[in-house]
Amino acid sequence: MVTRGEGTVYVAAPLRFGEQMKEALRISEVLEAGGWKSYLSRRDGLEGRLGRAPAELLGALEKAAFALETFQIVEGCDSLVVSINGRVPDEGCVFKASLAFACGKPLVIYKRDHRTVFNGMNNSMVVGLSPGLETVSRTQDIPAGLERACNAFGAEVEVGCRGVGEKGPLGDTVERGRLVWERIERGGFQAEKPGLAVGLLRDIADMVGS
Amino acid sequence: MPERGKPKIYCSGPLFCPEEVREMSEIARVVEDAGYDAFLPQRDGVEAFVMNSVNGVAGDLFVLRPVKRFLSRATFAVDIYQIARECDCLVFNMNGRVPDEGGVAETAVAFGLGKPVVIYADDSWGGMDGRRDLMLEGVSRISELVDEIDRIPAALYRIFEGHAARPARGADTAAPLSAHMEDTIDFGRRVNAFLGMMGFLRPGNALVDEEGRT
Repeated sequence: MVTRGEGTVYVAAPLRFGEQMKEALRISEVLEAGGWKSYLSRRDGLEGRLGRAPAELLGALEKAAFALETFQIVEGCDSLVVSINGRVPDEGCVFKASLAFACGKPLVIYKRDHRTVFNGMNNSMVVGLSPGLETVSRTQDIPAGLERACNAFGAEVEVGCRGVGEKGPLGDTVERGRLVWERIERGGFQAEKPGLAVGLLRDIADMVGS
Repeated sequence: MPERGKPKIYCSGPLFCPEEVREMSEIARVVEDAGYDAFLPQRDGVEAFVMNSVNGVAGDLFVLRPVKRFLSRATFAVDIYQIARECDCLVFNMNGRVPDEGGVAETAVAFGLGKPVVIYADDSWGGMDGRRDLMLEGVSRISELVDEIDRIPAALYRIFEGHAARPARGADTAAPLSAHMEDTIDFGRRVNAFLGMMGFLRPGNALVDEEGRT
């Protein structure tokens, strides 16, 4: 069962401007202080590097980024925290959280936003992803919320488990995402100079095709 | 698991204003006219019974909060039960200033369970830079994408008749479902059966009442 200090938590948070990125990093830090590792798409994946990519590679790299995030949610990570702050919840984050739910991953919904759509209630299809329709409203409460979610999702949730056994759109996407992740891990972005990073992006684009 | 009859299509999308209600009804009509069964939340789900009272005065009453929470949970559970156990495919209406977050959730659950997805969008809005969110762009690329409602049956045909292996009904992931998912599906099954008995009490949709029932 996923417990404190084990496994990696996918942080699904809106990342469209600087303060949103800082808030996502705060969530990451809280989790890491609580003993978890965290995955944040713009920091650890391809999303943050698309701006450097030559225009002709963008289509392939977006396909690669989608595959990578799908792989991380389905197989790479063991649980998920989703922030639904914003005038409406970020649709990409809702997609990621719902995919995690379908794949049996424990998840926590973080919301510190006064706006709700129905008489003070959030959209049922979003808060229903969390057992008991629970949301947490302070970042420091996320680790405790995650532990409660792990309990509610059941003891059969193992670190590193899940995934898909069949091919088809989901299985193909997960497989493609695994290859992208392995390539990133072999030639990590952190240590590379900008010119080399473009080379890595070109390799990944070639790998997934257009 | 129900016996295989006609494929059943989950019609997912926004249902919060007259234009959206009418468009979703039209999608369900086209699907049914093409010979499929359809699940339309605004007509067949808990939504049919609760949407008229959303944002009404009674909804602000604190004493009704447990009722609202129960109805919210029931709404979620029936829709997840339909996606996971009753429906073979999901059609998502992605029109709107932003895609409907409930529809996005349903689409991702269908994708996660290995169900085929048809995405319908005929609006020109694609976000600030003319593109949609990366995850929605991604799932659009591997789904059937149509820009007219009348093209949905052809997309369904490609899924159900054009492929040698017809998609299987039920949860298709190899991994077992989580306890939360199983509980949700079980609760949804019971509420769905109750809704079936209470169908005669279903009200018209106030958003389009002047035009008759949806």
